[in-house]
Amino acid sequence: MITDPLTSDDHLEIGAIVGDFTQRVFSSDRVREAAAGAPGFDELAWKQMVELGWSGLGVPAVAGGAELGVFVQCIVHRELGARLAPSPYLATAAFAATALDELADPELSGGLLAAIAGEPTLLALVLGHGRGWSSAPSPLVTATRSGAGWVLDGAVPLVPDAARAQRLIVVAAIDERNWGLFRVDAKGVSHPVRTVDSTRAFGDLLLRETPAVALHRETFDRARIDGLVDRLAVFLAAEMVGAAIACLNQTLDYLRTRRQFGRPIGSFQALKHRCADLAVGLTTAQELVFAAAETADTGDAAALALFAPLALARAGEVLKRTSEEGIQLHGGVGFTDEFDIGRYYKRALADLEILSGPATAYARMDAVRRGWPA
Amino acid sequence: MNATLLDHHVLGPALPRAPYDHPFRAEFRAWLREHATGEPEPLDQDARFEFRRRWHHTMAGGGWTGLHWPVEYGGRGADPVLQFMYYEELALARAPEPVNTPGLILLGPTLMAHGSDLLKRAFLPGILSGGQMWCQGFSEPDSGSDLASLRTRAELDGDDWVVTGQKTWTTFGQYADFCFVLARTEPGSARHHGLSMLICSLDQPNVTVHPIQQISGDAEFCEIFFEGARVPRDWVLGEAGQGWQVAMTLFQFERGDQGYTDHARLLVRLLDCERVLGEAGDLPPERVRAAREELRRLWVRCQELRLLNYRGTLLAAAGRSLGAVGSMTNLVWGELEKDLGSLQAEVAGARGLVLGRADTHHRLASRAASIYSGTSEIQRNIISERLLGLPR
Ligand SMILES: Cc1cc2nc3c(=O)[nH]c(=O)nc-3n(C[C@H](O)[C@H](O)[C@H](O)COP(=O)(O)OP(=O)(O)OC[C@H]3O[C@@H](n4cnc5c(N)ncnc54)[C@H](O)[C@@H]3O)c2cc1C
Repeated sequence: MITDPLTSDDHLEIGAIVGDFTQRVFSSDRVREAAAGAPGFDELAWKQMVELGWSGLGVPAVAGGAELGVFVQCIVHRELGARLAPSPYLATAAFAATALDELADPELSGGLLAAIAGEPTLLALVLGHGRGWSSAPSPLVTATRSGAGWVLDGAVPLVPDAARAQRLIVVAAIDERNWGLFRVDAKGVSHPVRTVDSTRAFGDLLLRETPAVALHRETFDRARIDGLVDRLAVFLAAEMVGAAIACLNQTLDYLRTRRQFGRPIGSFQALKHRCADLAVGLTTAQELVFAAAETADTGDAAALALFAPLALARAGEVLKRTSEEGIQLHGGVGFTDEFDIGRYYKRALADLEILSGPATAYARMDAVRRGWPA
Repeated sequence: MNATLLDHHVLGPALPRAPYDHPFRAEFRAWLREHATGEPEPLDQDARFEFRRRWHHTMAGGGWTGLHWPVEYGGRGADPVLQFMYYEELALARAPEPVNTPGLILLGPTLMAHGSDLLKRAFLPGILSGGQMWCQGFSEPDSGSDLASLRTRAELDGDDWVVTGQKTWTTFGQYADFCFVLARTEPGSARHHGLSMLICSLDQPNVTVHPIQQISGDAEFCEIFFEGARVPRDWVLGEAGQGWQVAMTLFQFERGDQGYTDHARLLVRLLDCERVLGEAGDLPPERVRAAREELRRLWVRCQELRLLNYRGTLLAAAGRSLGAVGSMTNLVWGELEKDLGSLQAEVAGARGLVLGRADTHHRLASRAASIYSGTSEIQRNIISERLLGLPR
């Protein structure tokens, strides 16, 4: 298969362990079963992942996490993506944990981070400014002081895993320039939405004077939110390339075995060349994702501000393309629910919406480049 | 002298293992600031070759050639990551393109892998200094993509091989002192068997070199006729009869060396397009808008190529083989080079038709990028069969 950006012995070993586990736990049958019951959730698997310490990979050591960094965590995301795992890992261990680590005051958020690392906690992150790097015309969620505390108001459509989360971590506008990070109880404010992708538990959010606890000590500006999205994008992009790799592999297996005109269809050059192009796109997208991950770990925020949107845009385009081609190259069976290939397409559609699609990522890229000296 | 060096930002985001504050970059930039001129390459082909040759001598004088060649062969034995940064810095200095690439990038490294001590001693110093120029004699009129069908033959006569046949598309054959020739040395052998890679001096009466006119207006590639040309018996690279394996080693360098697939030079040319678009020219606004969109797509593709070159570098640094990454790099570069050539002429509007302009010339010249060193179609065959395991 395509070149693996994991090269060190440590990383390869982690990759093998994670691959083993996900293959066992997220078999196609089990994924279908879990997703059919309650979208986006395999409770037992989540408990096991927490016990293995994976939910705390990115959590600081002081909060009881492993603090192994973004690159290592992306190894897990890639494997989860490959299996289309119905797991709260992205929403909780990546999105919520990163927001808490980046924007919250450690004294106020330490308990939450410790819970992510140590218990099968379920959190979801609500971005109240808009989707991904894009801005809604006016903030989607606003925060107002109420007595000693705060209340939040607003509506946010299709928040990943909000339908299952116990608590929500919310980025909300305090005034024109200042933003804060808040915690609210999910009960009564998030409403499950059934989407094409049953492996992710999307929820619509409706906040009406919902009591909230502030997790920030200092407010922050819009640029900090973009910096947060940079980090979130890398995790999501890793899931997308993982899904695309598995999708291409399934397609290649089919091309090697299905025969028409007395030969394997994979021997037709028209199909070979399409697969070659998919493999090239996938290779470069994966390189971008892991370059972004490594950059996040070195702390070069300026470089990350470009690598992250590049990785998200290209991973999204590549996953969509690969899954569309996957259906076409399977012929009629590709259109059946029985075959898994169509599930990659549905996952692609959902993943492309989580942080908004390539168009907003490229806009971020342009904006960052415009800020550079010529 | 005293070139202005472009800022690192032109290259895109800093790569974790080739950071912009690396001391090697600073050291090389200091030298480039003194010695590079940033002068554009002449359009006249002979003048251009001379221009590149002179630059090569300047670099050799400063000890800046063969950076990653082992010290015993006159190089610096540098880490491949330094070589990656080296090419990037050369592009930012708008330095001339490398000369004698068939020697420097193809034959030199292949000699180090397969050559006898005699051949290494005889030829490596001349390659590095630029004292001897080389060309690649693989393709024939009836054997291009299907190289293994080649018919040029060589037979032993006393202490010499006697070479008979025709090679074609031989780039810079007219400037070369030597040609490495893939020839059939076992009579009756077929396909990949019985071939040998011979080193043939072009300075002998039984060799004729004819330049061929190209669509770009240049005549860089040539046909070469070997009519009983003589090659000393031990000027064979590797074992006689093992020429195909030696050629495969050479292809690894041809398809993955950044000197051929440089992202940095493309990024500098993109910057130039951006500047032209920023000036109030007479290009209609619709075309300006379309060009800006294309520019952004090409910038993203340049970043992808950059990461492929980076991956190739890291594999080399780890002592691992490039494998099909080389074919990917070659494919991505070739298609990108053509699209960039088109964009450069597009931003000039109708003036991109006028002869004697660099953009006019480059657009035409770029059409070869997906043909030489293995066509895009052949690279896709290699990727799908060797890497993806699809049946033949
Ligand atoms: C500018 C330039 C410089 C060159 N320099 C050198 C040099 O220095 N030394 C040297 O030895 N050679 C050189 N070449 C030759 C080059 O390597 C060949 O042109 C190339 O390998 C293609 O061979 P061909 O021209 O015979 O085309 P063909 O092989 O006849 O190909 C014609 C078309 O058919 C396609 N095709 C062929 N086979 C297949 C297949 N199996 N599947 C799908 N499509 C296929 C090709 O992709 C191409 O589009 C140079 C070429 C150019 C253009």
